[in-house]
Amino acid sequence: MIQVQDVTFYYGDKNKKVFNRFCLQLEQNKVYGLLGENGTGKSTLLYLMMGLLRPSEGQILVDGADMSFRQRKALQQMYIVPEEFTLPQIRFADYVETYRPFYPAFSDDILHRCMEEFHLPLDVRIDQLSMGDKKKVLMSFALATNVRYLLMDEPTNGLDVPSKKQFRKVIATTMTEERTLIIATHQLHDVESLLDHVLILQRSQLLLNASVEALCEKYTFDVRSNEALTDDVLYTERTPQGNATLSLRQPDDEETQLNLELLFNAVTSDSINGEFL
Amino acid sequence: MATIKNILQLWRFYWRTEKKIYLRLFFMFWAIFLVKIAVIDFIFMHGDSEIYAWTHNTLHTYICMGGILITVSRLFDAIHQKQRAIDFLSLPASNGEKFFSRYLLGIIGVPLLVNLSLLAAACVVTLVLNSIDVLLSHQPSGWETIFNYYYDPYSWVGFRDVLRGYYPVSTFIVVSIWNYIVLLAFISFFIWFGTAFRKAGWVYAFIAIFVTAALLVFFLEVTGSGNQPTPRIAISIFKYGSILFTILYTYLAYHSFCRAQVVTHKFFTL
Repeated sequence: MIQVQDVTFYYGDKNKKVFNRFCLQLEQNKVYGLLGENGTGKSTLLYLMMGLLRPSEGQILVDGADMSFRQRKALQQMYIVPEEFTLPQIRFADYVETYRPFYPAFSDDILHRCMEEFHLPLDVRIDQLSMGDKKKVLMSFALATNVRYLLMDEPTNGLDVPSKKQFRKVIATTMTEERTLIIATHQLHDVESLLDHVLILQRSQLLLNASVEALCEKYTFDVRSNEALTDDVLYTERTPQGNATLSLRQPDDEETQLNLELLFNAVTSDSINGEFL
Repeated sequence: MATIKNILQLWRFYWRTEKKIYLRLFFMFWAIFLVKIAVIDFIFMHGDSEIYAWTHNTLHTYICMGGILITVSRLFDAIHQKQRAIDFLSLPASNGEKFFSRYLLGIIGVPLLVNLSLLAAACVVTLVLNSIDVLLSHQPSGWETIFNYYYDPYSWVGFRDVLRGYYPVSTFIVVSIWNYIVLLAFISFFIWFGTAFRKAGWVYAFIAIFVTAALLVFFLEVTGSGNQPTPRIAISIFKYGSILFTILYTYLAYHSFCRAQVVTHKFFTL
């Protein structure tokens, strides 16, 4: 479990706090979507969870360990795929040999499966890869570490459309019972089908903290004509197909698939704020 | 035991990811020493003996000490660049293991690397001179001449002096140990500045040393003790003070390292 307890954090200027007494609790065995516009503190929150930033107040506990101390045992259960990264100029097989001793639960099987899914050979030279392929290679390694908490910052940035599909497949097939995945992104469609839980950040405040199951139980996401815009509609957007609507689900309504972008826009425009917090 | 195993694991990691840097440093120092021994010393060999003594001894010490101190101050460069910091700080090893694995590289690895490159340069010069001797007189001058070019940069008692019987081996060992302790204090100071300052920590470290030295000289001049021989008590204070300063600077460097974050705007981390 990751516990963010009353965390206050700022970069340099005390008056511009990124987080002010911020609290959050993340359970195990879930895929969390940490959503928000640019500059809302998504990456900062991931770095705080990894112990790469230190809160000025409060603490972050991962399975009871204070991440400010960056203890070996705690770090063995965590891996971060940053948005931008540099990889050493070596072959991927050498990269694996270099880093794998630090992760006791490393799985060759998962690594081979991921690389196969991404259509990449194991003996590839990392520095000769495109940015997208470098990201695939790092994500394959991250998944193969078998850590309990995997943090990904904008994982689909730089991936083309087929690669995004591969990414979703790889995540879906390698997620195990003991693992928690936190994906920070503003590319909502790319991760929509993967999420168990949605967290929406705006101006460093948590606007929404709800499971996909609870959201789909409470709301209906559909496209309606102008005539069908009844009082139960909480938020609507005009699209070429009609009005994309988010409405309260009635007892006899069938469950609909989550429309993450619509939900995000509804929450950030205060249409359904606070409902699940 | 677990910590020793983890430090060994980190060293393997450094070797795999940084071996090009170590090799580049070795060849850079080797080239500098080669130029120094084969060109600068040679030029001044038959000229003014004071200038030759300066190039042969003082310049040599400056090159060795400067090379070591600048190199060790950059041991923690990774924590000052965001992407490298993410990679290094999130690596599963404790702060202590990461810090001391690098610190040991600084106090043992870097002086060893500089000495090996000096020895390699001395070997090349000796080999070339031996070859010339063979060509001219058909008699090599012998490999012991290597100690004409490889001499301890940190000590007034070198291998050569011991070989020639000027000093006993025990004196050489005692002097070398004390010189190494003083060197440790300087290395620790530069590691601290390199860890604490985001950029060019060695520049600030040199400035701090020059300012301190200037103040000391000023104090000696004012008190009129500048021209008197240094009392034994002062030498003892300097020697034993080096041990205390080594501990203090090492602690400060470790403290700065533990507080390091992936923040690139911070000028100084204490």
